[in-house]
Amino acid sequence: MKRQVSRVSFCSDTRGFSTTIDVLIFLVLISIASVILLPTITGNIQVRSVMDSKSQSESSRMLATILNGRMDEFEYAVAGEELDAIAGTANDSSLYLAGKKLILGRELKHRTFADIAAEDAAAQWVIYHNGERIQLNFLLTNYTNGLESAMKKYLDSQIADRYSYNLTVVWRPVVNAPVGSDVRIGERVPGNAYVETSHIAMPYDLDFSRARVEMIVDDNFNTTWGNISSTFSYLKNGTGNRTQIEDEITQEIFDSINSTTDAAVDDLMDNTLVPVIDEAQDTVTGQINNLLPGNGTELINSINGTIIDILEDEGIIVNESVSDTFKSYLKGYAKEETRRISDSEIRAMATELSDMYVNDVMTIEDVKESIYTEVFSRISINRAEVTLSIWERRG
Amino acid sequence: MTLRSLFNDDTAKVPFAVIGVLLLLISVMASISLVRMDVNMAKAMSVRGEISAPDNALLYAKADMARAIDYAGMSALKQLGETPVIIPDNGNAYFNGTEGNIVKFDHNRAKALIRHSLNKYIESNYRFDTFAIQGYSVNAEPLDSWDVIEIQTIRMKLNRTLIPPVMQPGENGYDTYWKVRVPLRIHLTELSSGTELTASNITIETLITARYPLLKDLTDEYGVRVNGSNAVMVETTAFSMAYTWARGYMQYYRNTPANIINNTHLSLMLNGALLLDQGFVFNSVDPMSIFEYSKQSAFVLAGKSMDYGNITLDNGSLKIDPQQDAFNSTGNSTQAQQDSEKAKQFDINATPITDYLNNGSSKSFASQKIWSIIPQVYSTALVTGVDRQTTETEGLHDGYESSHRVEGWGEPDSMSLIGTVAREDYVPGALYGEIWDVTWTRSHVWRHYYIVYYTCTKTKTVPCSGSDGKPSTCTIEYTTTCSRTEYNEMTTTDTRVDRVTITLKAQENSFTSIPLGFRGSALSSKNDVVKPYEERDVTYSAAHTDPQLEEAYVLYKSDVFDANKDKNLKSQGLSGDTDAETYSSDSPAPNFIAYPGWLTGEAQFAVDEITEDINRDVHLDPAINYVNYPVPSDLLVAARDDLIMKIARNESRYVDEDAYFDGALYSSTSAKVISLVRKWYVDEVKYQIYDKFTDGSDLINSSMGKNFSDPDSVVQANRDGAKLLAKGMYLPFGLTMRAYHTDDEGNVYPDEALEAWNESVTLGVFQEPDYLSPDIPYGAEKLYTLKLRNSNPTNPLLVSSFYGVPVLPTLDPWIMTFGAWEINVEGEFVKFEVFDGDDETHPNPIFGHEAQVYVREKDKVEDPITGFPIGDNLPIKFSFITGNFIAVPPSKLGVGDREGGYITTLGYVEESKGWEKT
Repeated sequence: MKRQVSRVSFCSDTRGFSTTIDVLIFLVLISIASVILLPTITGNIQVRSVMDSKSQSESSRMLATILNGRMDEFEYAVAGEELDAIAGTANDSSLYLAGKKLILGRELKHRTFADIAAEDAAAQWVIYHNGERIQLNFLLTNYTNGLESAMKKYLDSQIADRYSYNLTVVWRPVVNAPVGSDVRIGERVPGNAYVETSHIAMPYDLDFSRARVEMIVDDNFNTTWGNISSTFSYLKNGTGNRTQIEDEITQEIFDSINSTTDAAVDDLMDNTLVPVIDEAQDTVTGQINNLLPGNGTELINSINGTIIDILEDEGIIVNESVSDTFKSYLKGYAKEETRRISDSEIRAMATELSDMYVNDVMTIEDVKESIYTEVFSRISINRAEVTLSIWERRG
Repeated sequence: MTLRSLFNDDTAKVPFAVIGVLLLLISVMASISLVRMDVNMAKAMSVRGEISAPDNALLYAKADMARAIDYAGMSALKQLGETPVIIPDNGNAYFNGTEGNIVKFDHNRAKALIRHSLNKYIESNYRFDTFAIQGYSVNAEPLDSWDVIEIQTIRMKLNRTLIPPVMQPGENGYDTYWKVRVPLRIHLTELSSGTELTASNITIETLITARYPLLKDLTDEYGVRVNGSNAVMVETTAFSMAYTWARGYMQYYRNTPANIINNTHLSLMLNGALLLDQGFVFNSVDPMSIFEYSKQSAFVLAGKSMDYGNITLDNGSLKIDPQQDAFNSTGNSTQAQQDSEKAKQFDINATPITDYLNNGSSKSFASQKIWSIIPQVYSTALVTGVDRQTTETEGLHDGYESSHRVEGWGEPDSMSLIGTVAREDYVPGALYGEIWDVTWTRSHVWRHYYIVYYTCTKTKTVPCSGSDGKPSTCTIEYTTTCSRTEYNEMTTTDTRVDRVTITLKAQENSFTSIPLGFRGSALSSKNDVVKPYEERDVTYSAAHTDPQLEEAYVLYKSDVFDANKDKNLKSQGLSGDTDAETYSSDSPAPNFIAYPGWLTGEAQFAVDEITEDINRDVHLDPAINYVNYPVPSDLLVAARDDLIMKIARNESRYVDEDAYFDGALYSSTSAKVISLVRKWYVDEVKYQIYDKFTDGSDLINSSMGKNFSDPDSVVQANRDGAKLLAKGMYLPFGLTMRAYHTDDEGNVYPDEALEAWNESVTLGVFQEPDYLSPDIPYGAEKLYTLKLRNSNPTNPLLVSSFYGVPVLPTLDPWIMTFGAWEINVEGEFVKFEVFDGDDETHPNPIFGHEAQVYVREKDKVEDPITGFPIGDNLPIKFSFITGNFIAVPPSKLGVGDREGGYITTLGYVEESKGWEKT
C-alpha cells in the first residue's frame, strides 16, 4: 500500500530540522576544528623560518663588515693625567702641552673595526681572579670608551632600527691561565639571539708554532718507560700494569701542558710587557723622555706602581718585577686550573689513546698527533674570538 | 532501517553531530598536512643557511688574513723604520737585482720580513684546522719565498702649514703608503668528515697602515737639504747675514765689536738653521732642541738662564728673531739697531762721479771737453761763388755764311759794377756779393764759297788689240766739263757780355761731432747758429759780446774775396765755387779765428751748475739697501740703475736746451758751445756712473770668485737668505699638515674623483744631541757633532790699518768698502728620529699604540730572520760652505775682523776643535 504523502507547506515543515542537542554538538565540533586549523592557516612557521635565516644572514653580514670595514680615523688619549702629575710645575708650559698632545694623543687611520677591537683587547691585561675581572692596564679607559662609542654608532646606523646587538671580543692567550681580555659592546645577550663567531688575529705575532709545542711535548714526555713511542710500545706488549701506565701517560700529558703553558706565558710576557714595564724600552718612553728628560721612565715606574697596587689589593704577592710576578702567578694558577678542570678529560683521553693503540686502531704517529693537538689547542696567543649576537627588538 | 526506508524517510533530519565529527577529523588531517608542509619548507630554508657556512668560513678567513698581512706589514715597517739600511751590503740576498737601488732593496727586505711574520700567523692561526667556523676549517700554506709578494707605492702631496718663502720642500710629493699583494693557497675542509672541499690560490691585497715611506722620504729630503748649496746653507746664510750686518755696521760706526763673526755665535746660528729647516720639512721640531736653542740663545746673547716653563709657543711655534739676537750679541742692542738703521740710509750717489769728471782743475775731464768743443763750434768754411750769365752777339755777315777765322776775346773791353747781393741769414748762404757786367769783343772773318765750271780734256784707258792682235789697253783723250770752288770773304766784330754775380758764401759753420758714451751715438750738427757771422750780445752768468765767426768773414773778404775778385770776374770759364777756405779757433794762421775768452768760464759755470743740481737732486732710493740687496755687487748695480734713472728723469732740466736753442738754431755760437757742454756732461755723468759702478760690481764679484770655491751658490744663498730673513722665522712643534693623494705624475686627484682622499699628518722629531756644540764632544766616542771655521778673506794680513776692500779706489772718495766672510760647516746628528704623531699604528701593550718611527744613526743592521748583517745605517751628516758680505761707506777704517782665531794670508781664521780629528 502506498504511503500517503501528506502535503505540508514548506515554511511550516519542521520535519528536516535537527534536534537542538544535535545543533549544539555541531557548533562545538566546528569550534574545535577551527581551533585546530587556525594556527596552521596563519602559517608562521615559514615566516619564522625565513626570519631566522635572514637574521642569521644579517648577523653574518654584519660580522663580515666588522672584519672588513675600515674607520678613516679613530682617536683616543692615554696617560694624560699621569704625565701631568709627573711633569709638575711644567705641566702648564706651552711646550709641554703641545708635546703631550702629540705624544699621548692617539690616532689610528684606515684600521678595520676588528683591528681596533683586537688591539684594545691586546692591551687590557685582565686577570680573572676569584671570579672577578680585574683590568691591570688602567690607561685604556679612553680607548675602550672610544671603541664602544664608534662600534655603537656603526652598528646603530646599520641594524639598530630592527635589532639589538652585542659584540664581544675575547682573548685567552693560554687556556686555563687567568689572563686575557674581553671587550663587550651592547646589551646582554638573550637566549634567542642569532650568533656569528669568527677568529681574529691578535697583533702580537709571537713565534709559538706547532713545531715548538711538539718539541716541548717530546722533551717533557718521559715516563718510567721512556718517551711516547716506548711508553705506548710497553703498554702494547701487555706486560705492565695498565692502570699505572695510563696514570703516568696522564701525568706526562699534564706536564706537557704545563710546560707549554709556562713557555707560552714566558714568551707572551717577554715580548710584550717586559720591554715596556720592566725595561722602559719602547718608543713612547723615549718620546716622553725627549719631552721631559727622564720622565718617560718615571711614568713607567708610576704605571708599574699602580699595577703593583692593583695586584696587591687582590692578594697577589709582588716580590719581583711586575712581569715576573705576573708570570709566577699565571703559571701557578694555570697549573691548578688545568688539573682541576681537565683531569677527567685528560684521563679519558689517555685511556682512549691506549685502547686505540693497543687495538691497532691508531698508529703511534696518530697517538703523538692527538697529544700534540691536545696540547697545542690550549695556546691561542695570536688569535682571539669575536662574536656578534643580534636579536630582534621588541617594542 | 533499510536502505529503502532511508529513501522513504522524509523527515530529512540533518545529522549535525556526525557532520561535526567529520569536520573535526578533516581539520585535524589538514592541520597535520599543513604543519608538515611548513616544517619541510622551514627545513629547506634552514638548509640554505647551512650551505652558506663554508662561504662564511672563507669570507671570515680572507678578511682575517688581510688583517694578518697588515700586521705582518706593520711589523716589517716598524723594523725598517727602527733600523733602516742606508748602505746595503751587496753580498746579501736583498741586494740581488736591485742594481744598488735602495728603494728596491727596502722592498725586498720588507717582503722578507712580511713573509716571516705572516708565516708565524699562518702557523698559529691557519693550520691544523685552527681556523674553524661553523664546522668548516680554512687552512693556508706558508709562503715559500718572499719575492712572490708585490708592493705598490701610494703617493701623496703635503700641504704644509708653515712654508718657506724659498726652496719649498716636497714639490713632487712623497711615497706615503705601501699596498701589498700576497698570493696564498688555501684549503677548505669539512671537519665532520675531514673532507677537503676546495683548494684554491687566492691573492689578498691590503694597505699597510703605517706611513714608513713618508717618514723615510721626508728624512731623506732633510738629509739632502742640509748638505751643499741647499736649504740649510741658505738658512745659515740668513742667520749669519743678520749677525754680519748688526755687528759690522756697529763696528764701522763705533769701532766695536772687534770680531764680526765668531764661532760661539755661529754655532747658535747653525743650530737655529738646522731647526728652522726641520720645521719647514717636518712642520715640527725636536722640543728639547727648541728648549736648548732658547737656553743657549739666552745665555750666549744676554747672559741669562732659561727654564723649560718659560718657553712660549705661539700657535704651536716658537718665534725666533735672528736680527734681534744679532743686536743683542753686540752687548748694546739699542746702538746696534740704530747703526743698522743708519746703514740702511747709506746714500750711494753721483758725487764721486761728478767729482771725478769735474774736480775744478784745468785738467779735469769737463775742462778738457770744453776745450775740445769750442774749436768745433768756432769754425767755418767760406768760399767765393761765381755765377756767370753769358751773352754772345756775332757781327752781321749776311751772304757770308762760312766762319773762317775767329780771334780770342782777350781782356775785357769794360767791367762795370751794376749791383750787390744782400746778406743771407742761413748757411749755406751768401754773406756778401757783387754783380758785374764784363764785356769783350773780337774779329770774326766770314767767307762765301761758289763753284766755277769749264771745258777740259782728260785721258782715259780703254781696251784694245795690241800689235800682236792680243787684247790690250790703250790710253785715249776725251773732252769733258770740269769745276772749281772759289770764295768771297768779309770781317765782322763779335761781342760777349758776362753778367757775373760774385758772392762770399758761407758753406758751413760750427760742424760738431761729440760722442756721447751713454747714448752710444754722437751729437752731430752744423749750420745751426743764428747769424753766426755777426757779433752778438749774449747773457749767461754775465753779459758778454760774442764775436761769433765775424772774424772769419772779415779775413776771408779781405784776403781772398776782394783779392781774387778781378781774376774771378775775368775768368770766362769760371762759374761755381772757388777759393774755399776753412777758419777755426784751433787752425794755424792765417786761418785762425779767436773765441771769446769768457766762454770757457761760462761753460765751466754750466758744468758746475749741473753738478750742484745733480748732487742736490739725485739720492739713492732708500729701498736700495743691504737688506734688500744683501750682495754688494747687486747693491751697486741697483744703485747704478737708480741714479741713472733719476738723472735721466731730470735731464731736460739739467741740459736746459731751450735757453740756447729754439728748436732749429742756436742763438749764438757761444750758446751752442754751452749747450753742447751741458748735454755732454749730463750724458757723461750717466755713462761714468754706468761704467764705474759696473766696474765696481765686477770687482766685488771678482773678489768673491777669488775667495769662494762656488761663488754663485754663495751669492744666491745670500739673495734667498734675505727673503727668508724678511719673512719672519718660526720653530714649529707638531703643526698638522694635510696629505692629498696624487697620481704617479704627482697631480692631486680632484675632489670628485674616486681616488681622491686626504688625511692629516703631524710629525714629531727627536734628535741627538739636542744642541750641536762645536766645543763639547758628545757621547762615548767623544764626537764633535759640529765643526765650524770662519774666515775674513777681505782682510788679508792687515797690510794696512784699513779693513776690507775699497771699491773703485781711483775715485776719491771711493764708492764703498766691501767685506766678506767665509763660513765652513761640517757636522752630524748622532741620532735623528722622526715619528708619526698622527697615526700611531703599532700596538703597544701598555699605551695602546705607538708611532711609526724612522731613525738615522750609526748602526750595523742585522737581518732578524737570518742574523746576518745586511748593511749599515748612517747618521745624517752635513757640510757646506757659505759666506756673508757687507758694504760700508768709504772713509773710516772699513770693516773686518780685528781679532779672533789666527791670522793668515786669508785674514783672521777661527776654527773649532773638531777639525783636527778628521
